[in-house]
Amino acid sequence: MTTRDEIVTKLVEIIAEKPDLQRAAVQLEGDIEQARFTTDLGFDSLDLVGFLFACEEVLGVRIPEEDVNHETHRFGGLVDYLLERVNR
Amino acid sequence: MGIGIRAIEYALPDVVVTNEQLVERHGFEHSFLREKLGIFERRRVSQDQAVSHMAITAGETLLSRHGIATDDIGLLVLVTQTADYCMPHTAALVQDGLGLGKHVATFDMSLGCSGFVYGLASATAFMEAHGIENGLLITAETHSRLVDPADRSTAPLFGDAACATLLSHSPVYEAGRFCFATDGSGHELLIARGTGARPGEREHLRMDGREIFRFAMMEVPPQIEACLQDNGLSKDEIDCWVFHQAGKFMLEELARRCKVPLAKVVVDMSDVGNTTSSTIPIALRRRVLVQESMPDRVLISGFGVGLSWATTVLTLREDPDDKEGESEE
Repeated sequence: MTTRDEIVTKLVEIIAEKPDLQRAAVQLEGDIEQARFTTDLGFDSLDLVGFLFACEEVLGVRIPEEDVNHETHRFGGLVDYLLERVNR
Repeated sequence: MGIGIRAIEYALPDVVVTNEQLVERHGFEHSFLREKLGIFERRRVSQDQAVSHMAITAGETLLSRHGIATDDIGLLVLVTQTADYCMPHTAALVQDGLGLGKHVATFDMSLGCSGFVYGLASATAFMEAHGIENGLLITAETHSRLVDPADRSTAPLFGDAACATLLSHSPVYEAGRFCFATDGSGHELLIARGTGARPGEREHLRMDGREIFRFAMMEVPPQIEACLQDNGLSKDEIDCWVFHQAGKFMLEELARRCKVPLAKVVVDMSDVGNTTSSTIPIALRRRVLVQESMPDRVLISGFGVGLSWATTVLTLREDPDDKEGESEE
């Protein structure tokens, strides 16, 4: 059973390791639950493509395009989504 | 010595589409275009131009710059998915436009970003099988005819271009073993419905960028590993990596995934964009063949529409003029 904290840690690690996302990584020390990837963390569309792919690989789940929506564009929303998928 | 690449020349249409124009007209972001796509401008054909026109210009440039007589060409292969007409095949128009003899074998190959690698394998095998001394492999696309100018994933990315490669028995680079692959289940991920590439003939091209990215990351690195193994080579023995120029972001991610130093990876698309089947030969022409000391081994890998992907390793051969002198002894 994967916990929510474990998923948060993995997502933070992915962001921290990606050279293109250093601007977002700086903000990870604060409360980022409500942060939106594009408007708050500075992701562009390709950053998001690469990030979601990395999430899929690290967590071993597939994130279909239809699930990429307003809610999963928020850090906490994506964590909740992944938590449900990983433990399904 | 086998058949391989002797020379490469390319042709670009005159109309330039700058980042500034895209930002102004469609609200694209400068930094995204420059830093993520790695593109500053791209070219597109004018309304009265078709793919055959660019292909002929590229072919003429190649023949004239390298002193090749039209009668010396025995094969013309045109790689394109934006043919002038549904029929006849566009290579026939190019044969006529270049003034090549009637003895020339011509055919089109409908492939996109993997097309140069497939074309190289097909053309050299055809020449070998039929005793042809010199052949032309031309890649040419007019994707501007297919792209929706406001589509954020394709409009800034693609550019029109043609590239002509001279294949001969005295090559500068010779290909080793090839690896090919196809996954037609992904055909809708990058698709232009309709027929005929003349204005008004097709629906806009659509690309699922996320799935194409996933495909490239999952499928290309294993093929490269397999191709290196087939050729008895390690990654360290590859001096230069020329991937299909799909965009700077994609190339950097691919290089990381393949564990290749970025310094060995060619990124050469800033002034032309993603020219699909022409990206690899244009990069070879501008970044490899011009080097005073050319790299011994160059890996080339094309991937994209189909889905289709193909890889081989080019090995530098001795200067053919020196070789001729030695063979007399």
